[in-house]
Amino acid sequence: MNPDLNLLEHLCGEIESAWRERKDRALVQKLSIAHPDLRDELYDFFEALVFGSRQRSAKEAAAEGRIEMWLREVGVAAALAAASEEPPITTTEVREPVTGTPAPDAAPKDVNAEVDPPRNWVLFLRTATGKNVGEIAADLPHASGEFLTLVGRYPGVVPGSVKRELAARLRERFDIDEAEVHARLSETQGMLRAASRDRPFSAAPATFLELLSRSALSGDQQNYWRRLANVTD
Amino acid sequence: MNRAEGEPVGAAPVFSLEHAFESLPPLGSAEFLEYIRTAPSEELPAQVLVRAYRQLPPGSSAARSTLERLVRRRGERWDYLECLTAAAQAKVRKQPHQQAEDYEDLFQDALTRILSILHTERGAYAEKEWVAFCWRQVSEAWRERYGRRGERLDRPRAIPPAGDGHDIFDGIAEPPPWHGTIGGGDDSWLESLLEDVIASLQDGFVRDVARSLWLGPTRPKTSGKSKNGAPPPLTEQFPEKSRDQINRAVREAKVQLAAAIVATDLERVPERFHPILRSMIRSS
Repeated sequence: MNPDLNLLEHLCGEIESAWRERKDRALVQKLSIAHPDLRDELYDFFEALVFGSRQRSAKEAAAEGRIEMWLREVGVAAALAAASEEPPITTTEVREPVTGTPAPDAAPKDVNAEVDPPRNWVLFLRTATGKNVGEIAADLPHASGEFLTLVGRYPGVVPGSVKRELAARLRERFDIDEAEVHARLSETQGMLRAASRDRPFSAAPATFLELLSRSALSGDQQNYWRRLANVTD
Repeated sequence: MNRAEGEPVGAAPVFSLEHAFESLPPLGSAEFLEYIRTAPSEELPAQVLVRAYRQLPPGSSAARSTLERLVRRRGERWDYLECLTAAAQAKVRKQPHQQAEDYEDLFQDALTRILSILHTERGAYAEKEWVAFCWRQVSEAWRERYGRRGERLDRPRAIPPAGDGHDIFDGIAEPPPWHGTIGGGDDSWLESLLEDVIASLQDGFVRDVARSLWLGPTRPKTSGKSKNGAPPPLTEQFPEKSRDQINRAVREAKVQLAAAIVATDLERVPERFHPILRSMIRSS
């Protein structure tokens, strides 16, 4: 932990609640004088509270577009998978979720039902290894969390040689049955497009190369899988 | 003056997170799903979404819908991640040599951190102070990449010049409309506001800079040479201060003025200033 970041977060939190609750602009001055080392950061923060973000450059907007795509394809699913392994923790009073009221346009009868519980690739890996996707990827050669997630989401574009390699490595490192891996990778395509989604994911990768390009792999790691898959640009 | 220093000129509505949470339909119900899909962000704060997300059964479709709303982007704007944009911009734009790639990396690193800790104990803070929570994740991500003091950057950090950023009155007129016109009509509210803001500035140097910027007949330049009877630049007016110190003071004064305007009740503001104020209030 960073003690100064703890302090900065605490001070920013005070400024945020004072601004939200009573549009107080004196506190940032008081805290800036009391903490001169943090003065610029406190004013950066307060400026953002008052103004919001600045005008985006075209490159910044494009970058955020790519991040949005990543969120839809990997980020949200990975966060949900991680959360599903731990009980919910909250510091505030808990309200009992409703479990029996069906959503009008949703296929699942129970809106709190598991998302593809037994068949979700990421959950399968987590259950089998007791690790999160990032930790699993770290234990596998040439892998990343994004790569593993995308392979599970779009197995249709993943060459058999890549699936076999992954299955062999998962058996070797985690003693996971190779046949089980192949079974998962043959059936999971589209599983996360659950009926309860209110919009489709962005365009699926059309090729394995495209999947690799979205996988947050280094150039060397991508080359490894390209060679294995016998594909080139 | 009855109000305390720093308090808004107009009556700002008090925003209760507790009330917003208690107003939610039952968590996980069809009504809840519909509400989090359609409610405007102003009525559904990020903190409330985070609190609901952390209480919903993990892996449930309701949790997923709640998280998806929290990270929703429409057009070029995020419903709740504009603070992440602001924080990443603040970090990257201080480094003249940093590129859009650095911005993307920083934004995504911070977002990854947020998503990975939101459901944990460390995510509890986001139920209360969402912007501060996001801000910290950007700071952590920046430090991971560039070091605590930016030692892995090619160049040291620099304070941006005072002219680089928001000048809230750029959209109204140049020079600012109250220069030489204070004393009546539409601008009397501005005169009162400026005096309030200047009086509320706790740092004497910032107060002096603000007075020079706002109350003279024309706005002085930060540095350089003045001509044709224009006031001397701030570097001449405050020779004992560095340019960085002057830039900081200018920026702090501007932010304080902007904050005062954002907090002002629109009904008390002359109509010709409404468009820019609305735009500022929306962005805040």
